Order: sequence, then C-alpha cells, then structure tokens
Amino acid sequence: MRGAANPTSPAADLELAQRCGRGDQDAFEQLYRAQAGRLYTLIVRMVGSAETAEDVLQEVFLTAYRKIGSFRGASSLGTWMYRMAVNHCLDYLRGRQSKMARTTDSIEDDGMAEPIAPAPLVASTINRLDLERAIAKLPVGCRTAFVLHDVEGFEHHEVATMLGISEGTSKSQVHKARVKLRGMLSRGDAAEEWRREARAQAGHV
Amino acid sequence: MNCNTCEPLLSVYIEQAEPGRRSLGEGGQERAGVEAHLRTCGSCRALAEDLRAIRLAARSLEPLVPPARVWHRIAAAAEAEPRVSWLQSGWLNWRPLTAVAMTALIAASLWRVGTLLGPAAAPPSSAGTTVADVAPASAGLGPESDYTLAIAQLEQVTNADRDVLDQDTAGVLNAGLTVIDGAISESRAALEAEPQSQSAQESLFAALRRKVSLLQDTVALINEMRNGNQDGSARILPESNR
Repeated sequence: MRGAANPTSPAADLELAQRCGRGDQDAFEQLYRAQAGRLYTLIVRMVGSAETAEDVLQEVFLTAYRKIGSFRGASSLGTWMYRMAVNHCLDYLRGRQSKMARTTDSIEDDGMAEPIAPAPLVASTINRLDLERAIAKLPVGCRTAFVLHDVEGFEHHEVATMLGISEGTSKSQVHKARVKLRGMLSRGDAAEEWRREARAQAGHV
Repeated sequence: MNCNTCEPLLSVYIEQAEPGRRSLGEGGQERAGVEAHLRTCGSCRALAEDLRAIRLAARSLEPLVPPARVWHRIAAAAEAEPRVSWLQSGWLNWRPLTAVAMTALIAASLWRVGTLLGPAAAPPSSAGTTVADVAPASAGLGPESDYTLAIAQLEQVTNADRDVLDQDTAGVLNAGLTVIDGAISESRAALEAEPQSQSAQESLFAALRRKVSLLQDTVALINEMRNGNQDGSARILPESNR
C-alpha cells in the first residue's frame, strides 16, 4: 500500500487545494471522499481504537482545512494528508503515553524479550478479525512500527524517519510486534476477547 | 548459532527472503548462520513460518470505512471555523457607521450571547465540537487559538479606525463587546473549574464565535456603508441572525 492514494495529477491536486482554501465546501467534501477511507484505516490501526480514530480523523481534516493554503504541490495531496495523519496519530499516542506515564510503552525499543508462544500458530488459519484485534492490543511502540511496515508497506528507513527512531529500532520493534502477535493469536487471546464482548453485548440486548 | 541468537534475526531474515528483495550483503554470513540453524531446529523453523504468515496476513488486511457521522461532524466543525484570510484581501474601507445600524447588528449578537448564557442553553452539538478541538495536535493551531487570532486581527482593524465611528455607534459596539467578553470570561472560569466539561468548552467556543462574528459583521457593514451601498448593508444585517 505504501500510503499511496488513488493517483491524481499535480494540477488537479492544486486546484482542489485552492478550492478548499477558498472555503468551497464541495471541494472539501471531495477531498474527504478521496482520502478519508485510507486515512481512517491507517489511524484505526495506529491508535488501536475505532472510536478514537474518528476523533483523530476529524482533527486531521480540520487541520488540513486550516492549513490547505500552505499546500504547494511539492508532494501529492494524498501524501500531504497521509503525513499529517501519521503525525496526528503520534501526537495522540504520545499525549496518552505521557498521561499514563507508561515508560515501557515507548516508541523507542524497550528491549524486553517476548516469551516464545506456547503453541505453534497454524499459518493458514489466521483470521483477519483476530489479527486486527491483536494489533490493537500491541504496545504503542511496536504497533506503530508494525502498522507502517507490515500493513502499510513502508521500508524500515521510511518507518524510522516517520517515527523519529533508528532503522535498527524499527526492525526490532516490527520483530517484537510479530512475535507478540504470534503469541496472542496462538493463545487465541483476540478470539476469546471477541467472544467475551459478544456475550456481553448479547447480555445487554 | 543457537535459538537465542537466531530468534532476533528471523524477521529480517524472512523479509530479505521475499521475492524482489535485495540480499543481505554484508549480513550474508548472518543469513547463512540463520539458515544453518533453521535446518536443525524445528522450533525456530516454526517461528519463522509463523512470522512470515503474520506478515502476509497483515498485508492483506482489508481497508476500513469511517462511519458516515464522521463526515457530518467534520463538515459542521469546518463550517464553524473562523476564516480570516479575507482580512488580507485589502477590501477594507472604513466609513462611519450609523448608530442605528450598529445597534441592530449588536442587538442580534447580544440575543445569541444571551442564549449561550442561559442555564438551559444547549451546546451547539450539531457543530460536532469535541474535546479534541480544544487540545489539538501540534501540527496546527487549535480552534481557540484561531478564534483568538481572528479576534486580535479584527480588533486591530477596528481600533485603528475607531475614530471614524461616531460616538453613539462606538458606544453601542463597546457595550456589545463587553457583554460578549463577559460570556467568554464566564466560560473560561467554568472551564478552569471543570477542565473536562464539554459544555463549558463548547460555550467558550460559541462565545468566541459570536465575538468573531460580531466583529466580522461590523467590518462588513461598515465597508458597505462607507461605499454608500445601503443594499449591501441591508443584506449583512439579516445575516447576523444566522
């Protein structure tokens, strides 16, 4: 995926940005329709919560609305917004992190080893929903690196630049994420949590 | 190489073994070591296979779709955003405003402030203002900063040309701004007492919006009247009731 949007021409991007800058609501909606799905997908996985992702997505678009006058077409409008979305995710995660003062949940490598999974994972049976849920449960540092590298398709040096970490840290965080995911998926943590939530919801109906 | 030294190298190993990837280069020796260990260790082989499967599954995750309500919230919030770029457009042209016109304009704004100060006044939930608006990411200024900036710029304009207003008009304008400033102070005090209060936050935004709106309407009305455009003035007055 590599954070790429549907290809648009630089001229079309500039024109859309200028219309948005003039307060053209139709243009702003057009920008939203073109970018929101891709950014929402990224944000949900980065912040680990669909509910929070809605707020972050709103912030991203409102920031774009305020700053679109500064868009000069050096990159595509999609890339411009994608970077903004990554930065908003990191701002949100760092803000939450400082509130919780969880030093082990850092974007830097915490160096902690993950115990080997109790049972081998059957590779062909990874359920996507279970994987989504397991990703959401990862510590922030390895989740952001994993999402950008394995889900979004960036190279380690690109992930390192985006997260402000070293390339080596990106590699170790992605590895840590995969090992943790293996542990969660092989123990069925995500599936069990899903069943618990389903039972709880059924109890409220 | 044993399991402890092999395990941390497995992720890079499986990435580099993918088609189209460059070889390890200077890490070629490491790769050979990993391969030799994997030939003899079923546990590490299983781990490598699982890590590869997780990477493949991650690549094939489906895109997600934001709920429709998100656009409605964004559109409403964008609508409420102060836009001050017109201040730089150079069309400002001052002329004294009649006290009658100014009184009508301010009366409309004061009515709106009154509704905000009322105990039963509901926050403008349709605007979709959230806590996130109050503490935005560092990538951009927050709405309160934007309002404050807009107000500062508008006040700069009005203060610079205050002498072109007749005394009565200036008096009415000051009285109106005093009431709105009172609403802003009250909202700020409420927010200080209860920083998490969404209602206080929204009241503050609403009061700031009203101040921006009053100042913008005033500038527009003054400009129209200065140009002798009574029709334009008439158009602006009803707009202040939006």
